[in-house]
Amino acid sequence: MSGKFELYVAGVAINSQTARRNLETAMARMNGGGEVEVIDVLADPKRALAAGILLTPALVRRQPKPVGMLLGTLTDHEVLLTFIRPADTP
Amino acid sequence: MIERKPTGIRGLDAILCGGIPVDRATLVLGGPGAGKTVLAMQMLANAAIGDNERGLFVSFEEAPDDLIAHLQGFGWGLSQLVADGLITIIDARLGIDTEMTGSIELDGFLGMMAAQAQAFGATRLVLDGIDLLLAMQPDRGRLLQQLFRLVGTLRDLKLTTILTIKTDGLGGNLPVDAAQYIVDCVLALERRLEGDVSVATLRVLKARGAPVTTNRFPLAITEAGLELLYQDVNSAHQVFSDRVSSGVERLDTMMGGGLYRGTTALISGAPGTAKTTLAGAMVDAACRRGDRALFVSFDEAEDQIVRNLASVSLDLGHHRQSGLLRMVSMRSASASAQQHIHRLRTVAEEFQPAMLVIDPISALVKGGGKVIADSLVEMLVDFVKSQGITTIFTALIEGSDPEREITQTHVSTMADTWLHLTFVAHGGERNRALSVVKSRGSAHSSQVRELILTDRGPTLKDVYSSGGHVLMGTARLERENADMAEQLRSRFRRQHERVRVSAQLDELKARIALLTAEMGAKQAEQMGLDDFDRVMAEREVAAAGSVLVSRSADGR
Repeated sequence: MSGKFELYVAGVAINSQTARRNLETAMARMNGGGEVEVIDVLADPKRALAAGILLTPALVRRQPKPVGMLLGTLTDHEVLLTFIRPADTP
Repeated sequence: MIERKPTGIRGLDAILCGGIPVDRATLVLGGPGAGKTVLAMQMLANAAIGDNERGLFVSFEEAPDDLIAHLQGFGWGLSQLVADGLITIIDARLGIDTEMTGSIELDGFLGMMAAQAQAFGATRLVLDGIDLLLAMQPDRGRLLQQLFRLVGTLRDLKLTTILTIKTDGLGGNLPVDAAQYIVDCVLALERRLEGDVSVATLRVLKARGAPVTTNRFPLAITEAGLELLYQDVNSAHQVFSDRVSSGVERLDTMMGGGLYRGTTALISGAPGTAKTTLAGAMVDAACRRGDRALFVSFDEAEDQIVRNLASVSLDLGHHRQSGLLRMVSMRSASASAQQHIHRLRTVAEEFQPAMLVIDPISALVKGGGKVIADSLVEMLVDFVKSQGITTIFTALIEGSDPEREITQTHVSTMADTWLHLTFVAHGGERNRALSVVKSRGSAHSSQVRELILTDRGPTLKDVYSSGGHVLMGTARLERENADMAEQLRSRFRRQHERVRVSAQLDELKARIALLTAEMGAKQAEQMGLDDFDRVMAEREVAAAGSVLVSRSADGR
């Protein structure tokens, strides 16, 4: 099954760009681990707030459940992979 | 010149020279329970209530509902302000399911705050517990850069902001140090123990562009929120030129006609020297004039004071019933000095007394350290003077060097009049002596008087001074008796003298009478002799004639 993710970024801020790159790399390695929507909080702050996002970069996992959030530049690949595909999913 | 906005927190605006800098960030530091959140929310609430300003409160630690529940007890009506949209609380807690890898940035956060502020029309912002956010940025260089950006952005957004940071929370002190350099104004809240009493203080660590006092000021957490116990030195004291009677006639004379209205008097003395009685007499006199009086006693029940003073004919119970006298009893150990002062000020503002007695002030300053006590007394004196309340402090002095002891408590330098009561032991007696140590603006007596408690109230007696000794009580009586006897004796002596002189006079008169009689006799005798001589001469002539006739002698 494929996951559903939202990556909240702050325009072209460095950490946001880093997170975006790290996520793309991980997704590519997982052969289409799911769809990712990138949301610029500076462009759409209402949406971010509604989702409870205040800090960037932030990756939100909608699918698979449970909903979770991973903050930061997503530097640690192991942590990122575990977040994208929780242990109980094949 | 940095423009400032009032915080609406009593005392704080005065020491900050008008308030916190407009459109800039003010940092509030403090340990847990020091009152950071209360202070921050109070400023928002005051701005909302006073100036209809809208505020955004971003809570990094507490859920909005919890926050409202905690702060609802303060008299700002927080839930209503939130319901009216004047204060918007944003939950910025990180969910427990939130993980982190790498580092974050503040750009997104600032962008969203800007959007929110714009959406709500907010001009004020609070970031409560921003240390949690800053701790996510472990790199010092990046952190400083982010902070600069934060402060700069707030200025661009025209948001007057409060940042609160825990000083002894988790993580290093890096965010604290860095933030202090970057913001324009830093306030530090502290809570520490002075003896067994918890004392909260506030200190301005930094305020760019304002000549602020950086002393530590006592802080009271009251039902109205935080209150800085500070009275602006520029606050106008009400100055009166009329005097009020102390209720002790001769004491008025000693003080050049009574206390000036609206001044402060200190009555110091050892236990049992009738400090309370003297204060009671002043209160009685005030109520008799129809003035309202507030009698604050520490560690002594009101009824007990009324009963004790009734024994010297000071009927305070009557004044209580008439509503002119209000008596408040406080337990010195039950609260910190700040809380006492706050309560006192609240009661005084509500009751509007013309006279206030604090019996004793030494109990009030017991809770809380020396430095705090001094500034509290100063504040209290400033307060009563701005209200034009004639105030009597009593102060208990137990040591052997009263003048030094009382001066240390600072009250004596603040008070306009200082009456000191002592026991003078002499000849197996202890008598109360009253002296006017100082009385500003009055020619006052330099004499020591004896204070006597009679069934018609306290009164003063002249003391007997003799040969450099001041005599009182029985010694004075004995001395007076001896004097009286001496006077009697000399009166007897004079009387005796008078009698003796008049007797001598009588004797002289008698002698004069005798001599006069003798003189009369002598004069008569002299007269008799003259007559005889004349008769004899006549007879001689006649005799000679008859001889010639008989001789028929020829005529001549």
